[in-house]
Amino acid sequence: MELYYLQGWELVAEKVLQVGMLLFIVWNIKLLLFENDAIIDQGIEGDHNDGKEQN
Amino acid sequence: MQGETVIKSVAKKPKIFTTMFLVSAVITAFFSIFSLISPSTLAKVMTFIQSLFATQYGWTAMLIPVLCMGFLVALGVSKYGKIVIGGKDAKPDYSVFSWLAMLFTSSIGIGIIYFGVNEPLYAYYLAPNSTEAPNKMEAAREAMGTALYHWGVSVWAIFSVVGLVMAYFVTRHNIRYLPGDVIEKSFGRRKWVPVTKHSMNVLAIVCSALTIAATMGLGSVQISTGITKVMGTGLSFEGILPYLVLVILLIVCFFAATTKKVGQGMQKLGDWNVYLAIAILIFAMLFGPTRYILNQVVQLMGTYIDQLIPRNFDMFLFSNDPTYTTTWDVANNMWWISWTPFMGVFIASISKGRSIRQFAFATMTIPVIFMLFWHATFGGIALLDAVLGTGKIANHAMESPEMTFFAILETMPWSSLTSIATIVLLIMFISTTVTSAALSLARMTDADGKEAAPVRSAVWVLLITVIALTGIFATTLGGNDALNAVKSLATTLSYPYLFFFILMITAFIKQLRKDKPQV
Repeated sequence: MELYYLQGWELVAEKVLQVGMLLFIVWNIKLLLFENDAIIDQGIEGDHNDGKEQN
Repeated sequence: MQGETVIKSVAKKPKIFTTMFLVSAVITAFFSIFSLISPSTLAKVMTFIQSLFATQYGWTAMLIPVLCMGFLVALGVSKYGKIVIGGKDAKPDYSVFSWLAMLFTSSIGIGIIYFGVNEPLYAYYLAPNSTEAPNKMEAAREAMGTALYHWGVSVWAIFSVVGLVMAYFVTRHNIRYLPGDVIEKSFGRRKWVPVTKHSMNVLAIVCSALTIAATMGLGSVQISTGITKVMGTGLSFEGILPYLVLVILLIVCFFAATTKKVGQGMQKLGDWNVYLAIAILIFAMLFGPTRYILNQVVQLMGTYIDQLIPRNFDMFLFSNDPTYTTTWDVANNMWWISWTPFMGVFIASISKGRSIRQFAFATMTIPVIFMLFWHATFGGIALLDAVLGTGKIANHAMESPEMTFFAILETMPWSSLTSIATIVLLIMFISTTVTSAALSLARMTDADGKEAAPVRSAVWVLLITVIALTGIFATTLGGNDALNAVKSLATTLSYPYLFFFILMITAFIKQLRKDKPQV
């Protein structure tokens, strides 16, 4: 039982890591489905050195 | 004037030691020095971090391969399956056999001799589905299934997804061979992109170098064991044998990585590795207990098909050993994820002309069929000895796992000859892995992220060898397992990479939706 009912810093670490991962997954879903790329990506081509398409 | 500038910039010599190269090399060197000075501290710290993350993120690490498998199948059967890497008219550089041979030998090939034969035994003695099985028959069946699961479709799905993402972005969008650049291309100007991109790139490089160094070190120890076995103990140079082996490997890799026709050399090496592995396998099937091996092939196939999906979800809750999943299944998945940064780049660099459908289905089936035969033969013989025989081979697995494969060969005729063939195979496997890793690292640390300059490839070969060397040296000196400390470090670093891995898949799906490629 104590394996799943942690105490002290272990409990805090568990909550932070678990909630962190769940939020990260939710954020990925948001990036994928609920963001307007047309506004955010405006003018990207040519501004960046690396991720831009190279010739 | 403008024309002159253009000519000057074109004629400019490519920079060998780029900022990315220096930063990653310094971080890699720092960890390798740490592993030499205080391997036990490093191992302790890394084991602590690793166990914390493995315990907490076990469920994520178990889900990743399933998602990769589902993703590949969905892509393969969808209209996107027709997309050809490098464009509709791109022709493959290598035949399907050579392509798969290179994929196999640059990745899991090296491990099939070391861990491949020991895994069914570890599973038999440690995995809850075997230890808590009602009888020997069930326990043995489950053990074989577990072994193949650790080397099966799930591993290839992880590699294939990363390779596919890199290949798509590099060929279609002409980005650098760097995982972080995938994020930049897909997510554009968002504020978090630059930091994420740079950390991802550095982590990918350091993680790859350490993973390969640990593999090279462990491989050298196994080669030395094999040589001692063939030539007998009491050799005057027995103590320095692992170092001699490393020097030989260094020379081979140096030559392979710096030769002008790198692609052709790797292709030949990959082909011959697979021919030799198949020859050893056929020999063992013929001169070992043939009927038992064929029975095992059939049974293992059934067990694997039966467990293909459910095994990936099994967290062994309420078993007598609640730590099993963390120490074995999760650690195994994370170990393979730590291989993905360089495997992705390597796969992308050899996959021109392959369709997504081919990518998805060929990589998830053909190498696994080979592994099925390999496990049924070598793992099967080891398990037979443990369950119904003397248990001598099982003792090796627990006490000196690098000996197990040679102990199996001893049960067959001409064991000296087959042991020599195995040593050659090991040297070839390690050389291919280290060379492909060095080439990928050289590409990743190139200013334009495209060319694997021979000098930079050579420096990476040297760095990887030095880390492996310090590992072996520290292990010999202090009796501490420094090589395992390096391996543990690489696995630990792959935990933050888990986040990048998920982000990379999101980036790929997003980009596919943006591009709407015509198929």
